[in-house]
Amino acid sequence: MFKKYRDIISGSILLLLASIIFIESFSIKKLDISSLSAQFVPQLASILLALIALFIIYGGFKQLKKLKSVSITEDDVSKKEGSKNIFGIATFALITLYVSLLDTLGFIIMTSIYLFFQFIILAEKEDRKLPIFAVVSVVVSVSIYYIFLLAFQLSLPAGILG
Amino acid sequence: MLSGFILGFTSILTIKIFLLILLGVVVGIIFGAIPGLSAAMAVVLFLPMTFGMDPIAGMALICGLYIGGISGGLITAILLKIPGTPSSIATCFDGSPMAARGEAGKALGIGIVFSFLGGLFSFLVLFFIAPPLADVAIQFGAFEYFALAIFSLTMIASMSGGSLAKGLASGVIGIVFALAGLAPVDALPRYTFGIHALDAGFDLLPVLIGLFAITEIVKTAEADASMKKAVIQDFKIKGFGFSMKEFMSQKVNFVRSSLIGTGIGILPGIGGGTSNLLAYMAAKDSDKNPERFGTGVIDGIVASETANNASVGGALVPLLTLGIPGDAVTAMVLGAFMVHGISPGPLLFINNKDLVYSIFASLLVANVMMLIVEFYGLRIFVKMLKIPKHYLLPIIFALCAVGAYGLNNRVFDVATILIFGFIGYSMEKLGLPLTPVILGFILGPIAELNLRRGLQHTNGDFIPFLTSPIAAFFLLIALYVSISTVRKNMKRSKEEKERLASAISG
Repeated sequence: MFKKYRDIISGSILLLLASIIFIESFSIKKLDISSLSAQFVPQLASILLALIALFIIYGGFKQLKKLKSVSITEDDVSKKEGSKNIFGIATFALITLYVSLLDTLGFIIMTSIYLFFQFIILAEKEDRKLPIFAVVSVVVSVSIYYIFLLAFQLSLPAGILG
Repeated sequence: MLSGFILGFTSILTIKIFLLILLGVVVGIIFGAIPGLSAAMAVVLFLPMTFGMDPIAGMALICGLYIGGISGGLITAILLKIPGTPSSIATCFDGSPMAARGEAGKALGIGIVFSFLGGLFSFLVLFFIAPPLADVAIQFGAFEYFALAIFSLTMIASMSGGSLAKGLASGVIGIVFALAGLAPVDALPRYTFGIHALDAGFDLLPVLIGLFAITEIVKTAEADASMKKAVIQDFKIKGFGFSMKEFMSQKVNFVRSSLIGTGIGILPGIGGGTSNLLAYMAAKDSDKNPERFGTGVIDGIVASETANNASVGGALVPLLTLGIPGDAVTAMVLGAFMVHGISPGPLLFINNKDLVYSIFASLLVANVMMLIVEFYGLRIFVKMLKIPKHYLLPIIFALCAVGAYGLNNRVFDVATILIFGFIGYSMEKLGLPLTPVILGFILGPIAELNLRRGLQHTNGDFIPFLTSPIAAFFLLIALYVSISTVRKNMKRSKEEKERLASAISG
């Protein structure tokens, strides 16, 4: 399903991005001293991007027509892909949580939590050994924290432990 | 030149630096060998460790990672039939049939030795052309840099193998992301959306980590665990694994592949991932019986492995002399320079001559170490392939986060890798290539800065951009490249149409 409309979707997203860049460019201040304002390149880039986007959308529609005439079924493929996508989405959700709580909870706690759940997401069912995951998560987080602190003079956020 | 080398070697002749290079080579080979991990990722992960080192030590480590990372892919390509990195795709073609016949040892020996020789060839080219090129580049002003940036940007078009439009779109996306922050020349804020952390724009490194490392991790999370089912071929090596006669039969192939590899490396935007395939095709096309390629002949391995390592020296030429990276790894290296407050370019050869020659020396040392370590450590590297991915990838992410955080000691940069990871992932899903983004991101600001700076000099007159001979030269090639790419693309789509038409009717 998605594959079929991929180019039309990507072209539309690019077109949207181009319009945002173009509209926003008018809020950039202009100075009289510069012969070419700070708006020039953003506007040029957005126009270029819009043209390319239209071209991609056009190509997408042409492709769609062609596919209809040949009629290839790819439902099986997309179904399989769908179940795999969950891992990607779960990973992004976990990383978002990681970034938003890194400062508050500190590197050691947050990284341990992150690693533990990421191990679970990535491991196949038969490989999910939770006690080992927990130990590895904590050991790795603590080691990274102290290795960087002691050997590379980099102090990571200490958070509530600090 | 010779004095430079003496200077370079004396500055790295310490146990600490040798150990760093060794560490780099070993880790690089491991990253190269494990599918899904690459030389670029190895460099990213080790960057934070170089923050506290002096630049010479830091760059020595990175040289080791780079060389090991490009070479390591051959182990998997031959023993597992999966290229460890895109640089070793063509190594699979003849490497895996050889392994299947029980000649894995010979294939590995050939691959390792020619990786070494290809690297060596390109380093000699680098040593001889970089300093004179820097002498020329030192005279470059705003006009020339603008033209050079435009020329490099047009290379995006020609290198985006698949769709021209998508490659261009990715390039422009890169330019757009680089807009955030203060505009060049007049320092007016734009596209910061009121976020103060964005005032200085996005840092190159978090963008790179996000686009390449995070995207790769998530992609691997989604991919099948094909490594599990893969059978690792057994192997035996005596000596180098091949005879002197076999070695001598590859002379022409070696020179041709080295030239292709180095040349591709020098061109902005394309590196080992392209050169190994091109060299393989060139070797096949010029052979008397091309059919034997793919059945397990050493020629194929020689072409691929010579070319990918030869790209390393090539890619460093534009980076060191002009500050323009040749591929994704050199973009990371550019980031590493910036961390140390050094901007690569012609001035580097005057102000930091010791650093330049220490890099040259480190490359030579790393290349020799790669040869030795890969030979004697083969069995250990093969064992490393069995580390479960579900442990490896999350730990790599944690190290990426450390790297991003360590840049400015702020969580904002960790958030940046998340944002760009998501962007990279979405782009992959939408079929948009990632390398052009980096080129646009780096070259866009160079082009704009020098355009506006030049116009300020000339009071808004564009003619001087065309009358400077060097600038005119680059702009002309840029024009030629653009036109020929569009024509080639039109021809290809026409051919495809005809093929499809005949396929339907036939």
